[in-house]
Amino acid sequence: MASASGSGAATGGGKVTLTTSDAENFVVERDVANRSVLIRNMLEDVGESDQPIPLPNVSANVLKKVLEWCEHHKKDPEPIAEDLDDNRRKTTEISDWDAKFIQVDQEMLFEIILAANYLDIKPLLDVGCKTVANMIKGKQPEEIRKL
Amino acid sequence: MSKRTSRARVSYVEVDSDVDIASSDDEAVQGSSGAMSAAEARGSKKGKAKGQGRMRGALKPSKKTRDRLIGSSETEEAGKDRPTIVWNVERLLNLPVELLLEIVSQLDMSDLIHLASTSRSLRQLFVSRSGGKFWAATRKKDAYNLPDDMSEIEFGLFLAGTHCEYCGATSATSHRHLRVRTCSECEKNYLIAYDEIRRTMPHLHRDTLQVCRRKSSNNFARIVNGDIFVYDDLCSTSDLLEELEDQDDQARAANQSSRGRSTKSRRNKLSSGEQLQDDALSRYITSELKQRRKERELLSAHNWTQEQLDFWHEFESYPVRSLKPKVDDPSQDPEDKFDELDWQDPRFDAILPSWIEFKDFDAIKALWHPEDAQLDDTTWDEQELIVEQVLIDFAESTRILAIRSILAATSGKPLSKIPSSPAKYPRETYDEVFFTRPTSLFGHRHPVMSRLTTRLVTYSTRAAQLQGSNRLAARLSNSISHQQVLAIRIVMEAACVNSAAASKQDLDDLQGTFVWTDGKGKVWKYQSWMDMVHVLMNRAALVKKKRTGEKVEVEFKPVEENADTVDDGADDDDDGGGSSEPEDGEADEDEGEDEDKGAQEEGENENDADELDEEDEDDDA
Repeated sequence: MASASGSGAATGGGKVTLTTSDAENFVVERDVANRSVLIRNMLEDVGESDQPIPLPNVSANVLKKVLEWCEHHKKDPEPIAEDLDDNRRKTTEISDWDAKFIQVDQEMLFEIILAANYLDIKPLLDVGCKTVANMIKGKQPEEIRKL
Repeated sequence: MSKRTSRARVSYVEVDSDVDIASSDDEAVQGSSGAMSAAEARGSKKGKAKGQGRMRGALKPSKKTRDRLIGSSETEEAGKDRPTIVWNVERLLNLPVELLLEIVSQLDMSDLIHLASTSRSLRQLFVSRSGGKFWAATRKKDAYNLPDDMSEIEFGLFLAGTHCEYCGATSATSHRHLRVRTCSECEKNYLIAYDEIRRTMPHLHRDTLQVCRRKSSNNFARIVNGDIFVYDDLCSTSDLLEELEDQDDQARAANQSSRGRSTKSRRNKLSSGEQLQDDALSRYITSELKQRRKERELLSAHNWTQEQLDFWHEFESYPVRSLKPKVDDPSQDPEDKFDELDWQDPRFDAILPSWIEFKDFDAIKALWHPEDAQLDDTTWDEQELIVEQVLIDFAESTRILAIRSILAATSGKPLSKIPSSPAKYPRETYDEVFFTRPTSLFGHRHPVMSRLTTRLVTYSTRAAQLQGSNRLAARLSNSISHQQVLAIRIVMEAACVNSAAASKQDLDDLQGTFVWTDGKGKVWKYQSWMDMVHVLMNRAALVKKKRTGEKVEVEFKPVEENADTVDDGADDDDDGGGSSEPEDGEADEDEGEDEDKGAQEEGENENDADELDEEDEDDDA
């Protein structure tokens, strides 16, 4: 349930080290890191290794936030690839936890979106984009400007 | 549309009012990547030393560079010390396009319009040529299909916009069937009901109403009195149909002659077998389509049975004698005689019907149509007199129709109320001076973009433009309207030109600028009086004011005034109206583009017209 990927079973309990752009190291469970398709692919390519994974496009404070999300969602079922797009379109609701999680300042919101895009975490990217869209929805130009 | 963009313009001023001059200069120079600089410049204003570096980076046009920058250096900076966060809508521009698309695909069309009017750079992004994908994204969310003849942006603005397309008023109704959005005031001026069309527009091409957009009052397939049309649509469609029909006729004539008389020069243009085949094929398809349409109409609108239809087919297939007399000797073809007439003959007034029309004149039918018609050269001398008389009569009746149309337009009465007796229009009274009066000028509408280009020319020029085309008189009569005359009067008043004595030349000679400030503080400036007329014609409310005797505030600033005063004037406008001329131009971005296009098209169109005329002459020669 935790991970659909082949390597997940073998190394499910292991730890992974991630290095941010500002040279901070994060040690996380493999399940958590696997939420990022980018990291998962990297791990699959590299195989068993203690080498830290460099993430030159993500800073420490953003990664911290992103990992917080991954931690909470590490047990989520993997969406089936072909349904991915449709599902994302249909579910316009953001879960309570996510809504609370994404209550951050603008700068961070955009950083999270960019990081989710870079790390290829579709559900998080979705939450971010929907949040931005909801901020704009149904508002007059003046209101949008003053948000 | 203009209102919407002008609104966006104001908001741009508000949004960017705190940006220093240097950065706004950058922005102007950089165009679309300048959009970034505006956003970034604000970042630099927050006093971060790195802001300057970011700004320089952001000016690099490459999208990849931009994405990388945003991905790395910015987050890096954000990580070290976070500035107080102010929501800045232009931050959206920092996102890669695919993410922005993702966000936009969650929005409604109206949200997109609101978003586009928050800042200039966002507007540039959404309303630019490449902005269609954003509109497509929100359109797909709502599962609308895009009409064939509209762009994504047009469709989006039409569906979700709220302003009158003619005057920019905020409370406007969308007429979805007609694809226009008007306020109640403009509705009276720009939409026209079928009964009124029948009363006031007798010269529309017969098929116009069938192909124009119609707001049906009771969902009948048949057009009934309460049905509404768009006036501009009718005019331009009618013109277009006439033109197409002309082309068809010419092609057909050329083709017929090439079959019958293989040595004639007019066929040279069509000599390639390929083109003949193409022509034949397209004519076949057209006639086939026409036939089917007719059948459908008979079946549905007239309740014909299949039996009746079959009978009709049989009847139709009987050889019906062509109006064009058949001759064995090609050299005796009357059309050649028609072609050989001396067109320069002053008695014809240089106004000539098309051959197609000409051969259907009663006198000509009587002359050439009977079985025993004399088609050889023996009686040509007598026939020539009759032919010439027909042409002289045609020229005269066209002249009278032109005068009546002018009188109808200047007085505001319908054409039918103007007496038609030739005796009332002696050449001494209605001379050259009469025809060169500004209010006697004929508009030459661009067939497709009628709303955008109108050139005003004298009767003789207009007639020459229409030379040899079908229904010349009707088209001439359609080229002048009361509204046009009112607009010209406004312009003449502004320029203090004596409207009773002025000629077109007087207006052409004016050196200066026409300035008009509309009710919303927007300033319109035009160097050419025709442009001013053109704008006024499209402002129904203005012309209505004129009709009811109110004064319309159009000013004329002669160029003799020294440049300083003019500049001062412009500055005053700046302070007072909150808008100035350059922004004015930008506010009208889409319209402006169209107008540019229009201007080009106009040029091309004139060339086309010239070419057409030349072709006509070639044909006739």
